[in-house]
Amino acid sequence: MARDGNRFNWRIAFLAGLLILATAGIVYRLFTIQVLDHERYRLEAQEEHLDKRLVRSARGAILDRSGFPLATTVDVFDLYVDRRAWRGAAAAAAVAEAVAARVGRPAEPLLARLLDDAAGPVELIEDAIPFEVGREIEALGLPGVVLAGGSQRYYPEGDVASGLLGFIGQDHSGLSGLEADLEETLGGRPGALYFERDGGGRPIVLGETRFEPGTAGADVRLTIDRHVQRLVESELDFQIEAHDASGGTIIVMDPQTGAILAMASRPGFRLSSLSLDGGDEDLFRNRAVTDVYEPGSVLKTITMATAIDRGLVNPNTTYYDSGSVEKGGYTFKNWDFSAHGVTTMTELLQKSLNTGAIWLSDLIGPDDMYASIERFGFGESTHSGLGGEAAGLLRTHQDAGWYAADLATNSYGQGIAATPLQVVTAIAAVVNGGTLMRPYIVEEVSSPEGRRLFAPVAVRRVVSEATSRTVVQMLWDVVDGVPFHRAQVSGYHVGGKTGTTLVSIPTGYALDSTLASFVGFAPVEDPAIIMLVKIDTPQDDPLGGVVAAPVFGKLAPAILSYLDVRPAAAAARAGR
Amino acid sequence: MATLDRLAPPPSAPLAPAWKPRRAIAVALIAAAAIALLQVFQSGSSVHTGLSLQRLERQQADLTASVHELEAQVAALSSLDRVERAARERLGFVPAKSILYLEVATEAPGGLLGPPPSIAAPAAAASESEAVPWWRDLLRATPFD
Repeated sequence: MARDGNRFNWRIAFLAGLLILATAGIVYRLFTIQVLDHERYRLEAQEEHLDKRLVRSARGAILDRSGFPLATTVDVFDLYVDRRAWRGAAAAAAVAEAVAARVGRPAEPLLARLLDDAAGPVELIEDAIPFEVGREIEALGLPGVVLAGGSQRYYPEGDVASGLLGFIGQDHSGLSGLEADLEETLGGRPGALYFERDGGGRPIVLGETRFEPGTAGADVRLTIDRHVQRLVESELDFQIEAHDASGGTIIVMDPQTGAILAMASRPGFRLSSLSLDGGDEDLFRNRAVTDVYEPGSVLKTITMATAIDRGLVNPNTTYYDSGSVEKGGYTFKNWDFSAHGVTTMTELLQKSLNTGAIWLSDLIGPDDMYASIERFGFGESTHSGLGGEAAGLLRTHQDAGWYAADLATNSYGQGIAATPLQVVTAIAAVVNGGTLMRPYIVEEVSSPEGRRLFAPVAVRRVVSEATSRTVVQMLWDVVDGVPFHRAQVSGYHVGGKTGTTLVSIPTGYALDSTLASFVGFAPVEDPAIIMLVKIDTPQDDPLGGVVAAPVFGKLAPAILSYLDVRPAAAAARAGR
Repeated sequence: MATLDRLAPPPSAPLAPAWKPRRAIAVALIAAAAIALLQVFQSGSSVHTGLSLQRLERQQADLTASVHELEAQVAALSSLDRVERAARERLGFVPAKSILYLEVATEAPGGLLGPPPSIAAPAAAASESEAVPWWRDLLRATPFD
């Protein structure tokens, strides 16, 4: 008996032990859930019970350099109808009549739309109703009419700078241009409305609600000047039409700081006729920074500056131009197949001789030549902050697939691809005293938290001040030293260089299409502006000196006068 | 003979007032009513404050919208298109075919606004040679002055 009793006790003890263990496990689990992981489960429960709705913050304005708004936001209402609120057609008719009278539409089509149940019980009837009109409709207390507050982007200058500014989507996020590039700054931080919801997800009327206010977007002041931008765009459109060209680009920059005063490229889109239905995506990019081209003879300026900076030549150094040069098994000729005999460096630039540029590149050598081209910023993005900026294409003697003939073609701007912004930035470095400036477009960001000013950034010195002065003098001779040069501006001393390149195609070059370009600056004494003009595939004349240079000659006086830059004679008398 | 009345009860302390449940219930009811009223007043006040807040927020939204609207109107009125249209249509201006820079030989007047109007100008200070007669100068040159 006693043995049986002991066995029984052992079994009871085992069972009790199991129960104790299980209970301890449950207690431990409860302790974990309710004490250790309390915060985590509280948040999860809150997630279940609370719903969150984002409340959009006001989007900041984009201003030009004088503070004038190029894009701003106004408050509007979107009008929805809830058909379930109507008992019959009479109520719908009353709504249609009241709404139509205030939004300036005929009542009959609106009524037909209201009575059409195919669109579902709730439908957006009218968007972007002016704020005051919306409030007026709201005050009527019409059954089934719901007004939702919203905002709309407004462009006081119309289509000016469309491609640069870009546009926003229905969710008010930037989709292209500066609106997209500066989304974080302009968009601000949305607020959040938390509310308790029932099983069906509907807000509980007396439930817990909490509002976390957002932060309004900051206003962004650009370096762009609306007047200069408008002048440039209108002239670019005119020139494209006049030359039956496929497109073009004009950039105006302050060479001393890198501030971009105007930037326009075509083909592009217009904000007033923007269509997002598809097919226009190709128009949405800013070609001044996204598309590359071969700069052509404009790059002879860089080759010359490099040779002068290394002490290899001076403006009076001569070489013999026989009209053609053999390099790497290829024969290179001048653009007009001419030969000029003994030629000075200044004449080389004036006549834009390919043979001279090749002679210089031989003097410089590939090591120094490519090091210099890279120092001028070719082959890397300018880091201007504009979206989609291309780095360009540069193949040096250290890259695979490089041929000796490449050094020759590169010396006069072919076989190398750069964006218009890279080209104008590089030439600006030549004329501003020898410092490569980072091009920039945002001057100031101002928000309730404060103002942030963006100062010009000097990237690096590329040539000495003496070299810069010498090349500026030579470029002055290129424009004002050549009678009837079409970039000349009455009253101002102008320097510059033309460029004409064949359009590159997958199989080589299209012999009947050119890109005509000119980079000019004024006044020579203290350059206030540098301007790149590029006209794509002009049909009437292929040359940069005929097509692009006159655009500079036309725009520069208007811009210089607007910027209050003194004419040369007055400046000289003032002791400059 | 005076005798001590041993059977008489000793004088006792005054009796505590008898507990009256009705009075207590009345006090409790009054307290409850007061608390309830306080709640009502507080709720009323809270609702009133909430409504005021809503009204003020709405007013603020309206005013903010008006500010945005007015800013947009100002921008529209000073847009370059409108300025050019006004210059052409109202003032009859045409774009300049060429820009001429004229040299002005005379000195520019001092200050941005030009010379001040004579009525506001301070009396011109007479130079010393005008203020002092010539004979005074002559006298100064002699030991008589």
